[in-house]
Amino acid sequence: MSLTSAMLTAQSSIAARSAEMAIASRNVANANNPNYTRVEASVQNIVTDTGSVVYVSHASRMVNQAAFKATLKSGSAAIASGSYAKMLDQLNPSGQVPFGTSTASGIGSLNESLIAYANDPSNQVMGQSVINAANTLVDDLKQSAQTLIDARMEADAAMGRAVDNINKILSDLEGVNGKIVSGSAAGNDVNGLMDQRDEMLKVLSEEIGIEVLEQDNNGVAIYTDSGVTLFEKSAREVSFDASLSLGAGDAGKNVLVDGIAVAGPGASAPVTGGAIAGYARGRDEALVTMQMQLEETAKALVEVFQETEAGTTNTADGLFTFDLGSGDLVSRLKVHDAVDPAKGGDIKLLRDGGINGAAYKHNTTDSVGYSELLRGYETALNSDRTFDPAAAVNTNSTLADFAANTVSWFSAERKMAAENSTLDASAFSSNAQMLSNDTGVNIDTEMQRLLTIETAYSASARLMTAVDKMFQELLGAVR
Amino acid sequence: MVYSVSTLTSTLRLTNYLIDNRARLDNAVIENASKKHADMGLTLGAQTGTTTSFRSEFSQYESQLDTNKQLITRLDVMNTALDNVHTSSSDFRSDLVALQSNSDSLKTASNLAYTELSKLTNALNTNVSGVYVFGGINTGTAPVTNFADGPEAAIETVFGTYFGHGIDDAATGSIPVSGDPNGKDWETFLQSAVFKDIFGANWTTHWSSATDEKMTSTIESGVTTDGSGSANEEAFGQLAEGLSIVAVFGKLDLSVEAEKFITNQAVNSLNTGVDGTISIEAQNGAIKTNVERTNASILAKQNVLNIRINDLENIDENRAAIELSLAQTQLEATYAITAKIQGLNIMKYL
Repeated sequence: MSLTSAMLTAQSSIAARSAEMAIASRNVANANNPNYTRVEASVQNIVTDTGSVVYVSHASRMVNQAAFKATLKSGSAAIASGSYAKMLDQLNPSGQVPFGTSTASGIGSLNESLIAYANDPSNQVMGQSVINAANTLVDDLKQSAQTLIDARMEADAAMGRAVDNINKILSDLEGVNGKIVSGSAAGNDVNGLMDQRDEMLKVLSEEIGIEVLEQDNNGVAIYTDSGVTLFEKSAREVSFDASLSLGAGDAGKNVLVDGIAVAGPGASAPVTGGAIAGYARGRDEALVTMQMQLEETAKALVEVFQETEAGTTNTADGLFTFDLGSGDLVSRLKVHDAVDPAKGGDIKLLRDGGINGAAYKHNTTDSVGYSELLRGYETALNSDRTFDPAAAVNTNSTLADFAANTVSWFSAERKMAAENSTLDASAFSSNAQMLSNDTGVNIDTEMQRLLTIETAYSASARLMTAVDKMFQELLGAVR
Repeated sequence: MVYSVSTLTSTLRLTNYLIDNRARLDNAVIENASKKHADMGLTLGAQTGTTTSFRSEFSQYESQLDTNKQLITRLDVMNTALDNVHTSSSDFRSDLVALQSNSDSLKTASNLAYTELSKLTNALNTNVSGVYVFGGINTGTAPVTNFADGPEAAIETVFGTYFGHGIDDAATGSIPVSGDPNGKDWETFLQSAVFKDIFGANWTTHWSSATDEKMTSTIESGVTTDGSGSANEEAFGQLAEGLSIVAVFGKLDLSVEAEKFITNQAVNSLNTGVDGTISIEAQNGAIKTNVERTNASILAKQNVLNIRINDLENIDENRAAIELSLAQTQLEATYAITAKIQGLNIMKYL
């Protein structure tokens, strides 16, 4: 031990404090960066027979892998349920009038005007109000159907955007991961790169649910939450073809990862998290069911108002009919031209029969008080009918009840989606807070650390002054 | 272990509280202003369809009440018409009975009978805004033909065919009251099918274009009732018969016995006719009462529906007011905390 070694120790302490200072200031600078992981100086002490030296060997990253993965998982779940809930919310822009209400009340108005016409069949104005109610109902159904198609197309486009984003992230990630692996193998500081990769993983998990597996030299492999490889050494291809039309009966296309379907109808390994899962659920389940409900409504309307040929059991479309052609029924639904005065038709055909020609006329005496057919339609409108189970509501009910049930179905689905989304969002935010508390920066702590470093620095400097003085004393004595 | 909070978390948490409380306040404001749930679908969930169908049921009742009001108007008009028919017919019958003892009285009565006949046709041709209420289902045209425009000629033709001479022929005066071996007497003629059929089987040929079938009106979902009358009721035929006998034959120069007999025949027909009219009127009144009772029950049902809709859709105003003030307090507290925490900064103390 000597004065020289004391001087050396004080010197090394000053150097180490500067390094610590640099690390602390890096932490402070990133206090508000959500993707930053706090680093702490790792201070080493070497003791030799000539003295001891302190130095900062490296900055260690305060990671919490479990909390990070939990955040990724709950984040992708929150995005999935959130995007699904938002899709349903968009169908219901006004909180007071749930989707489908207008159809249900349109059927009610049709029934009302039908009764009024049947009670006063000589009054053409009453007949016109039946036609008006029918036209309004048709317009409303078409509008609802278009809203659903738009929503499905939007979901489809969102899936496309998500796939583009995934491919971009995966290719970027390939580069970053490579640098981390080679840097780690060479013993370089890869903390910044790892922060960058964590951020990429977060964004990736927002698009698609993922599982992250650590590999040697800080490398990672990434799988979808259903187990399909997205990235292992190299990025796998994620592909998706946007649909051109998504009317009732049109199925959306699948999202393929490495050739395996992970989202879309009949996917073999369906993902549960991320925007893709949420949009696929809307596009392929809820909205498909709702389109089915509208189709069933249109079908029932046509059936209710069918005419019977006098004296036979032959039937033909009456007040409502479908345009010829293929595709969904709602888009082809219309009020029969023969009864619509706006199209040159005659309202009286509805009362007397004969929309499909004289053979279908029942009021052969042309009595203006004849209301048997009108009352027949009203009875048919209020009779129980059978609906397709795919419409997901009671299969046996009147058309009006069916329409009301579809309103219930939608609101129940939306309520559930909103509740799930709130739960998932709060699970995510508490996970994210936990992660941030564990690996993020607390300015108070950092400032306090700065104070300690400062004190230690001035103590070391003071030590050097003292040693210097002692040297001077010694040298003065020798002179 | 020391619980540590990162600076980022504490900032974000405050932001989240602010957003949350702001949204809660917004909701409370909407609910207080509209007195209904801010988001019906989210609050009611699977029950949303119930209020939808309650609402359309409610408006169904509303429009049913409107058409029922029209029906009641129609029934009222029918009632007035029937009332006129039966009072004036029975007054005429009383006049006939009183005049019986007076000679030449039948000629006076004959003139009156023509007036009564036009009163009868007029009453049966009543219409309410274009709907001829006694037309059966043929409500577009006046159902009963004026006496002078067909029925009178038909009676004279039948008379001519039966007796072999015109009604104004001198031979008419010598037709016996009864007992003619060939049946060429008043009694047999007035009871004969050819004469009776004018007011019975051939009523629709000579008098009426109405149908027997009446309009059916729906007064409540699934409940129907007659919504019009028919001029083809038997009672109207009997009234017409009584009045026609006096009108056509009363003006002729007949023996006193024949006049007496004809008067008796007419009174008989009028008696059954008036009775029949009264019973039609009673039936009509019963229908009207029924519709009114239905209306009352519809109103009661509407009230129940209204209460149920309010139950489902409306918020509790007291609760909403409290929620609003709570949300306000909460938001103010959050603002205060935000400001405080912003001030709590180690830098100020270094």
